[in-house]
Amino acid sequence: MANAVVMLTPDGKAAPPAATRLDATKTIDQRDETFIPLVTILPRTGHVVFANNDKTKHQVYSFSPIKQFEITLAQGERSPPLAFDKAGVATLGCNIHDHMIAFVFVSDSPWTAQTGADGRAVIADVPAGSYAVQVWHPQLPPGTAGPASGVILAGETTEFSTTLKLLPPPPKMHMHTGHY
Amino acid sequence: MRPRLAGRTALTLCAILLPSAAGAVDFSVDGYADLRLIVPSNQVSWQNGGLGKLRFGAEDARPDLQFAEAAVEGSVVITPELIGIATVRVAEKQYSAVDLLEGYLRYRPVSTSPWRWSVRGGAFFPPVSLENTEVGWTSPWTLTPSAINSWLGEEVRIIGAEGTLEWRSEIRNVSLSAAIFGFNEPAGVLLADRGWSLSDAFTGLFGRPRLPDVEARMLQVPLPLRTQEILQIDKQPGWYAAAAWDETGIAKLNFIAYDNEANPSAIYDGTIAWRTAFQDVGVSTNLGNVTLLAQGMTGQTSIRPNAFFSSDTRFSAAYLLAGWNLDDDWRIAARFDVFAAHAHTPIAAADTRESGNAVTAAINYLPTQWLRVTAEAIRVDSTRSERALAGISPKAVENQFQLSLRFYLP
Repeated sequence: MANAVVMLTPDGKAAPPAATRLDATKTIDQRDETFIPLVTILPRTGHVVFANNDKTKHQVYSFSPIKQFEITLAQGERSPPLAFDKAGVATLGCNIHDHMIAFVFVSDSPWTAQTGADGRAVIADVPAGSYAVQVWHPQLPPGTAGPASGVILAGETTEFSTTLKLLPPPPKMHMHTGHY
Repeated sequence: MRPRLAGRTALTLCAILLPSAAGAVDFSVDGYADLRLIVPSNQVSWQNGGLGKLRFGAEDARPDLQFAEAAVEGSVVITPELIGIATVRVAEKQYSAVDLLEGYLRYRPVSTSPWRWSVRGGAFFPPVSLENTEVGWTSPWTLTPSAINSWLGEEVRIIGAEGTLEWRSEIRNVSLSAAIFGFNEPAGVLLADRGWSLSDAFTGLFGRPRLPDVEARMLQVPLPLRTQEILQIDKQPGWYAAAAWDETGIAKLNFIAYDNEANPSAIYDGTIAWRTAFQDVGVSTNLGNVTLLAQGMTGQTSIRPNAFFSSDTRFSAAYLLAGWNLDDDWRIAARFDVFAAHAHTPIAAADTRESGNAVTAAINYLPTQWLRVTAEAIRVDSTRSERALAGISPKAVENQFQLSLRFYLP
């Protein structure tokens, strides 16, 4: 399952700032009336640049508790970097194209990674110790947290697996949706 | 989340119409042309003045290959908050070969709070159908909509203004809409004089659907007898109120109450105002790859053209549709409809009773963004007392098969 976010938080001590390992600035593209990527991991205090590479304008917005904003982008336009100062998940939409959706996962932990198409996420160079593991996915039932558990790392490669109970994905059909 | 919009051709025009925040007006079009192989019913279709329930039917029913229709939807983003939508439909059998299904402007300011409001004005469908979500007010599941949404497409279109207030969260979205409208006062005449149908012959704003020939003969007027649908006859506006409750990942519940508030004694240029009111409840949910849609409607339509005659028709219908997305290219659907109508007049012998059911099965293959191949079989089993006046059995079982090649704009 792609697009799951895995986050390690050390037990009993503060993690270093997330920006020490995660890219502080990410770009979210718009092409073919789709946000790319669907999920963006950002360290708290990180920035997002929105790049409209589409044939139409977009009005990107969020009303999520961690970040409220709106910005209109013409074709070919890039936004100035937009700061995300609170940890959590911001859901993005477009006021012109209701079907567009994306998520920004703002993390307080530098040990945060995203699964690929094979359902695997790799977090390298984690100091030995005891960690809480949190998993999040856009298709988790709303209002529910992903599975949380603990893992003890002792300086060698450790595999951790979990099963997510997700809502069904939207059908991947060729659609010619009208304005209804 | 919804699937990616595809098949929309976007153009950018110079910013000469209205100033916009981002400096340009976006215009996009989508649409299709539909070529069909039809094995029609052996009952004369209501489209040809008969009392057959289906779009295609004739006594000497023979398979036919024909252009069914084409539809083009144009949308213009005047500003990010203001968009205009217009849908044109072209079909050989419709009264005006080129007609407008809808045309309206919507203003919706962006909101960064859970609350969002919008207004739209113009000509549009009230938010009733759960099936007709695709360009040209078509269904992704079947060619022929349910009895409820066939009637919506034939008779119900408003010219007016609608306001909507939404409350949004991760867990649920709730919306309330209210509209005031006119120009939908003949709506109801088809249900009273013809009964329900299962057909995708939607009426445009300039359309004049055909009434049964048996009605024309009773009224001693020339054939074909047609009715207008978009006409204001009295000075009283109609209204509807709608609510939607979407519990994310569980189900969506829709409700609408509609009343055109027509004066049933008003007549303009030979067309009577039909006082039509209905209530509709709809539920939709997804269970894995299976989508379930259900709607139920009940209502009444009445006329009182003079002191000696009146007609009150109570109507009701419901359907359950199960659609299954097999993979990216294939989806199948099955639907069961029930419907009933009872037209009561001062002369009991002139009352018309109708009841029936329909079973529809369709398989859709979408190998590319620009082509949809649909095979649909439909069987309607109905009893309508009016058929006896036309010299045929009140009970009829109709079968129709269609193979559609729908070519979308790339």
